[in-house]
Amino acid sequence: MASPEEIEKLIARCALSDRSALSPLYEATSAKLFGVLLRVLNDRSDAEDALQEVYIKIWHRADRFRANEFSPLSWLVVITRNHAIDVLRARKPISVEVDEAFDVSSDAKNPEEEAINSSEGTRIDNCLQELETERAQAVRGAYVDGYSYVELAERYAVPVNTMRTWLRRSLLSLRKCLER
Amino acid sequence: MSSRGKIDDQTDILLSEYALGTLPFNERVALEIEIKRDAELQQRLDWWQSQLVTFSQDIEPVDPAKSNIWCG
Repeated sequence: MASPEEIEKLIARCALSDRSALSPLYEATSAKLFGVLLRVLNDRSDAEDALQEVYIKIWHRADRFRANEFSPLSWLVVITRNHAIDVLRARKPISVEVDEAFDVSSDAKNPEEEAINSSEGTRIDNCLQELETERAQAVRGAYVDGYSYVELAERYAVPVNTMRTWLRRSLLSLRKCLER
Repeated sequence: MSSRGKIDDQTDILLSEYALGTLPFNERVALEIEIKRDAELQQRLDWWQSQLVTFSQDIEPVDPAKSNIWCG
């Protein structure tokens, strides 16, 4: 894995339309970005297609990278993950709007025991631990696995509006903690 | 840390849902229009994204099979 400084330089070269920078940037970062895509899309073929599209986006957006906001890899992951969410939402029918959704709770099995893997030293993980376990898992599931409110509601057997309330309150709690 | 500035609580929570990826489609489209008009909203969205992206740290890299990338 290239250093953050090396990745940043490659992004900067892409921003200057230096085509020779894209291949080493791909070599340095594609495994991580592909991992993110695979996690959200859960389909290798879709993830491979999406990966190509992600690098096109990176190429076109490289001039918007602001090192003061993100580490270079984090910025690439944000682009990747947002693209994965777009792909995910596009391939799933918008079957129900939150406000129209009523009891979609079911006897679905409990959420899998996906541990809240604590990334040591990261503030958000510390803040996440202040939430109830299920709510923390739901927040992480929404981000890492790309679950929608409808999917989370099914997994946790609660109405969609309840899930949205859970997540919104959780985000407010996270904000309060992160801004302390 | 990004200041919320003039951004009210309701808008901030919408930005957080946007960053989380859970904002329903119609609300998402409406918010994207506002974000494009308002640099402060974009800055605040960046803040949320910079916080939430740390969830991805634990995702293991996986080598993609294809390596034929578009090169500009």
